[in-house]
Amino acid sequence: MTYSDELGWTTARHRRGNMLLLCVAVGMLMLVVVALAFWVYLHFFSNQLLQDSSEKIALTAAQRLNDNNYSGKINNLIGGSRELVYCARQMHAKTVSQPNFSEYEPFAAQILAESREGARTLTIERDRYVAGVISDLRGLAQNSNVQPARELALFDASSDRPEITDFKVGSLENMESNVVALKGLPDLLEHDTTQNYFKHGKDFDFYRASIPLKLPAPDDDLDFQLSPLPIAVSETTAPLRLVSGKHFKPSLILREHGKDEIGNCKLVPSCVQLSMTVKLQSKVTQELQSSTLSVSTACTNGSLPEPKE
Amino acid sequence: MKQVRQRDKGSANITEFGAALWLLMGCIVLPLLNLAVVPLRFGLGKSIVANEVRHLAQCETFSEARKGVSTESAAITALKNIGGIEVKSMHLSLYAESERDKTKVHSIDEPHKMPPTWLPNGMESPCLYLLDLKVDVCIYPLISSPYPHFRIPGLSGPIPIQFHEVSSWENLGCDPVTGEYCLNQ
Repeated sequence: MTYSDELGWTTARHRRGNMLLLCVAVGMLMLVVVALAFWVYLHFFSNQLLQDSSEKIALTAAQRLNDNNYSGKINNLIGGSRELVYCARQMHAKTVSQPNFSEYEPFAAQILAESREGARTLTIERDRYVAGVISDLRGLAQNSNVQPARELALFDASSDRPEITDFKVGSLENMESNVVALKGLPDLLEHDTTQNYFKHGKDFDFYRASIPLKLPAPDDDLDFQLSPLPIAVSETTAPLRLVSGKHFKPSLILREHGKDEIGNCKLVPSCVQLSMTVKLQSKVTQELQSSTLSVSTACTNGSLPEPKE
Repeated sequence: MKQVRQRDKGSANITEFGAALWLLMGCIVLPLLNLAVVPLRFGLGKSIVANEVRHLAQCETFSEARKGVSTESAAITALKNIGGIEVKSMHLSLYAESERDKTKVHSIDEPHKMPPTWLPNGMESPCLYLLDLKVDVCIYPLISSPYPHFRIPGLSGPIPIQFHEVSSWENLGCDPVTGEYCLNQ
């Protein structure tokens, strides 16, 4: 025991020093708790903003897939072109087989050639339309107005600007085309029924999408494929909407893990799926960081009902 | 004289310090920590339920959404993973609210029960269709009493709470195969 301990004043100073340390420790603990609370709050807040932003971009992208019902119109044109080729072939076969109509054979051959050429032109136009839509979506992925446009900061935590990490286009499972099977050509109807090209509905039958709808030979070389698109039922057009990601079937990846991918798809897609992420980090220590992810899937608006004659 | 006064103060600190610390920890810090966990669990649980109803509202049909509500669903697993939340029951319903008269509401618990007047082409249209999810849970504090008689809800025992979230139904289209509205299937 030292002289100063005997007197007691050093011990008292130590006690006061301990209390000060305790106060500082409690204060630090409170600061840490408050910082954690802000961290959790920013996590929730930025996740909510990210969800809203990804849904908005997904809906904007999906809207462009069938803008002004172009996709629906192309499908109907392809369906009509297919019937035209079938009719022209039947007419030509009749002029060849029946002597009474043999003088019309050159005319029938011309109509057949034109209808076949029309089918090819439509396929080229569809490919061009698909390329335009995909290019438009690539532009949207690169230049989309992602909200919040700048970093968010709250107390000791901040979040970066959200990024689109994955961007895919495709369709929904079991989604078929918007082309109604017409009853005007019984032979074609029978052929399509045997080939299982239809899906039977309550009020009408409609063609399946994403499969080659081949005509009987020799016109089986022509490419008739319909894009998946929600069909109008009872004059009701399916609206633009968010869908569950579990039914999404991708056909083309535009961006994966933040890297843009090249490629194109054959048919007009009807859905988009995008993943967005935002990084959160502490301003105090760089080691404390986390990220939040949001995945949104949207389906384009359905085709408009066909105008009544 | 001065040195003696300082020694007295020091003695007082020595005798009172331990007891004060125990009182502070036992009566203020620990009960507050115990209480603080409840709103944290409530916030996390509410967020999970809100997220779940948002996902369910994006299903193709109402029956598909109903299938998604089960005790083995991802949302329930997430709720259980938080810890301290016991799920008692879940209830999913779809209700239509007339845009023309907000007081008129029709609710269904099962598919095919929406009357034609409440469908998008019905007499009451335009309507707002909302999916409604109610989850009854018990939220436990950090430390709860093992003796039922000493359980004070929130302090030493669980608090019964109902999470109630709604989200607007997305698929307002018709199924061409059945001809019915997807929200009524």
